[in-house]
Amino acid sequence: MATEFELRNASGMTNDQLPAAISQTRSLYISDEVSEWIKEGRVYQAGEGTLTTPATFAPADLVRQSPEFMVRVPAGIVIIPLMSMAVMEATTAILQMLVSCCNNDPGVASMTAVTPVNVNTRFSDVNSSCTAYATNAGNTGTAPTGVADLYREYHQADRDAITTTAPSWPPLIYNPRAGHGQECVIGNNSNVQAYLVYVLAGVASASTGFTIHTWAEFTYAEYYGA
Amino acid sequence: MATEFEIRSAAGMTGDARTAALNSQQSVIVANEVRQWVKEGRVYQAGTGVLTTPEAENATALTRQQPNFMIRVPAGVVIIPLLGIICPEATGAAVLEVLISACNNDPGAANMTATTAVNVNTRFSDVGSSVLAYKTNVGATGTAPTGVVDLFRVYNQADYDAITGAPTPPIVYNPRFGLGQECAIGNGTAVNAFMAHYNVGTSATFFGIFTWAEFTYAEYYGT
Repeated sequence: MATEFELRNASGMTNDQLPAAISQTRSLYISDEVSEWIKEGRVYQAGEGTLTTPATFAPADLVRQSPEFMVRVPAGIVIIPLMSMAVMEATTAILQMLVSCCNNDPGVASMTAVTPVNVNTRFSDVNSSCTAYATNAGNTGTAPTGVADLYREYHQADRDAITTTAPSWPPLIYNPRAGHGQECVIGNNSNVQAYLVYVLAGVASASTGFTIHTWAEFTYAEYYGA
Repeated sequence: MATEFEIRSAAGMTGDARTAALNSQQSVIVANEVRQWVKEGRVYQAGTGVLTTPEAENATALTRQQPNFMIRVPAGVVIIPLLGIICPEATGAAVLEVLISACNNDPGAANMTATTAVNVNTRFSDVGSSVLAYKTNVGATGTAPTGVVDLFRVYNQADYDAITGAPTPPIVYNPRFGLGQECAIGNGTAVNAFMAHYNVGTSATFFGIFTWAEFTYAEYYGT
């Protein structure tokens, strides 16, 4: 008789015990965990720039309190960032991208709230448990602490001046499960923590572009079991 | 005594309990889930352009109601987009933009041409897809997409066909290999859609290849 396991669906463990599937050649099927998170409605997306209107990147250099995009993770919630990508439209000089996390609340001054959307269309109308912010125009209010840097790019070239010699491909991509950067976990049970993405190209308010960011969400109890 | 599992075939779970295979070093052999979806006949392909004739693209700027390629997912079906390959031929002007997205309503099918999706498992070539694929956009589809989620974007400053001194790889959306965000499209009650937009600032021609896996709502969610 086959060994039974317990099904998990979008509502959690079901008490429904069934055998695991194997192929005709008796290989075990392994389901990707992130795909399951998507199925469970845990993965959200937010970004900067609208369809044809890019965001303007204000900082001239990397400043910890001036992230271009930020997810504030409230107490009792845990997120795992999955992907951040940036595509530049107008640039003026050295292009930099930095992805990091911190263990305090950086504040939301000089940021604009944006609404995350679930990447599973079944759950499009279900709100994120986090608050996302974009379009930085200055310091957020509090210096990030306990900062861990997860990914960085530094391009010497003025990207939009590359018009005949090479494609501007691929985009700048933080995607730790595909080898681009270090995976992290953000959130604890007692205070706000944050995910921070910085993108800029050298001259204040002279570079523009679009960004897309995704992350998976859990309650603290779901993630840590306590 | 060896632990037994249950064989799943193209028809679903078989009730046939068997031991899992080990290799000669006694490692468990793990099957790739997408490869199994291909085996089960769940993965379909459709695209834009034919063998030597690229598709002339109408839109010269990203417009939500003017996707170059679209999949309308009927109520009761769920798809997982797997791959998008976009190859410009004649671009004519600078700035190549690509945007991959999904929405939670029916954008309509006005100004689009239906195209037939083909199974990537030749055993199932004659089995029709459960979704509707469209190409050759010539105007607004009829209804503004809602609940839009952007999954992948490219902004390429160069006039692509003027790059003659370097290779110009295709633009690839492939979330399982780090290029874009994976998603699930479909619910139990309404049409949802997958949309691929690609254009340059003037008339242009492209080829596109798109693949996705299909499930019934009950297969995917178990309800």
